[in-house]
Amino acid sequence: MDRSYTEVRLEIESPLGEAAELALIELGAAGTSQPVPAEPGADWIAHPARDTAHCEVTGYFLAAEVPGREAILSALKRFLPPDASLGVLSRTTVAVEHKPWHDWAGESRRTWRATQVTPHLWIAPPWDRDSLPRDAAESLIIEPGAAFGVGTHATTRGCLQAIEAWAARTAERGTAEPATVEPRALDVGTGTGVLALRAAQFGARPVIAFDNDPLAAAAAQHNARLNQLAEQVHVFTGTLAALRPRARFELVLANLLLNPLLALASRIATHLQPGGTLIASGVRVEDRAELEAAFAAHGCHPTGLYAADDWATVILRREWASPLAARPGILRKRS
Amino acid sequence: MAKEVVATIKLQLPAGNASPAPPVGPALGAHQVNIMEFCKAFNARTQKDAGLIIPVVISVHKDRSFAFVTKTPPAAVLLKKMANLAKGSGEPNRNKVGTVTRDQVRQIAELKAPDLNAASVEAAMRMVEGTARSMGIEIAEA
Repeated sequence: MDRSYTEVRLEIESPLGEAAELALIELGAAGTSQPVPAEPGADWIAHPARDTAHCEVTGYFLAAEVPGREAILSALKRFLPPDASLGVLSRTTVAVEHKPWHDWAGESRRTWRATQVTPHLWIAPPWDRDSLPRDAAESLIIEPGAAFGVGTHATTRGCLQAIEAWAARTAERGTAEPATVEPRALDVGTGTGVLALRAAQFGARPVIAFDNDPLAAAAAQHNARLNQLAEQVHVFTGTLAALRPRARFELVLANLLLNPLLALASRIATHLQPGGTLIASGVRVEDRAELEAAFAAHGCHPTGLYAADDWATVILRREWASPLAARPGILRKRS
Repeated sequence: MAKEVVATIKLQLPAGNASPAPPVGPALGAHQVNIMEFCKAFNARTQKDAGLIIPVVISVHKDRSFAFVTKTPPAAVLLKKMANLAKGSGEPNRNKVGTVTRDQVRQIAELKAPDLNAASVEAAMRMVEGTARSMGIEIAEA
C-alpha cells in the first residue's frame, strides 16, 4: 500500500508539552503522542517537568500538506503560557518524517493465542489452532484482520455467554415443541463475525451478518468459511437499511456502542420478532439505564445482564403485544 | 496486585473517534497493545464529548494489557469551543479574536478542577483567564 502519513516531532521544554500538542492539533494533526517519563505514583499533570527538562511531542498528519517550522512556531506562540519566555521557541527542535501506512490493528493482534472465552468455548487464530486443547468441545477459528471481536474483550465475552444462555433456552423450548422452526438471527455490526458464527453453531439459520466497514465484512465472510459455516451465515457490507422492512429475527446481536445503539433502537426493535431476544453490548455499565430506556420505548425489556470490566451486555426481549403491532403496515398482513 | 507498567503514553485524540490510524496505531502498536480494544474502550468513554480533543494517558503492562485515564480537554480547546473560534490570535495583546463570559470561564474552571493543580475554583478561573489572554480571547464581565 502506498499510503503514507507524516510525523512532526517537537522537542520542547517539558512544561510546554501541552502547548506543543495544541499547536500541532490546530495545524491539522489527527492527534498527538507523547511518551510520559516513568515515575511510579507521579502526578504528571501537576508536575510535568519533574524529572526531565525536555519532552518529545509528535503530531500525526494524514494529509499530504504538512506545516513548516515557521507555521509551527507561530502556532506554538499562541499556546505558550503567559509567563513563558519567547526564547523557548528558538530552542525548540522540529523534525519531520514521512512514514508508510501499516496495518497496525492486524499487527497488534499477531501476538494473540488460543483462548478460552466462555466455559464452553475456545477461540483460536488460524496460526495457533494447534494449541486448542484436544478436549475442547466447542471452538471457533477467528482471523481478526482489521475487524473487532476476537473474543478477548469483555463485550464479546458477554455476548458469547448471552448467546449460550439463549441457545440453552431455545433447546429446552425445542424439546417441548419439536415443531419449532430453526431460529433466524441478525448480527448488526458483525466485525470478525464471531457472534454470528456462534449463533450459527447453535443452529440459527440463516444468520444475516453485516458491517458498514467492508474490511470487517470481508473478515466475517472469511471466518464463516474457515469454520464451515458459510452456508448458514450470510455476510454483506451495508446497514440495516438493506434489510426488507418486514424481515423478523428471533435473535438479534448488536455489539456496538451506546450512541449507535440509541440511534438504531427503533429499527433494531422492528426487526426483532415479538418474543425474540436482543443481545446488546458495547455499553458502559453507567450507560445501561439509558440503553434500556431507549429500547423500552420500542417494546423491548431487559431480562438479563452480563457485566465485566465496566462493560455491560444487556439481554432484552421484545414483548408480544408490541406497540408496533397496532400500527398498520408494519406487522399486519394486508388482505 | 498492581501490574508492572512498561510504558506510559499520553495521546490527544478526537473524542469518540479513535481508530487504528495514526496516532493510535503507531503510538500503541509499538507496545503491542490490542489497538481495536483500546479504540472501542476510548470511544465508549468519550462519545458524549464528540467534537472535542481529549487527552488520554495509557499505561501498558508487561503482559501487553493496558489501562487508561481520560482527562478533561485542555482549557485552550474549551475556550475555543466556547468562543466559537478555529484558532487563537497570533498577537494576543493587540488583536483580540473572541470573547467569553466570566460564567463560561467558571464552567471551564469547574470542569477542569480535577486536572488543575488549583486550590479553589477562583484559582482555577485565574489559570483559565491567563490561557484566554494568551490566546487573544477577552473576558466579558456580563
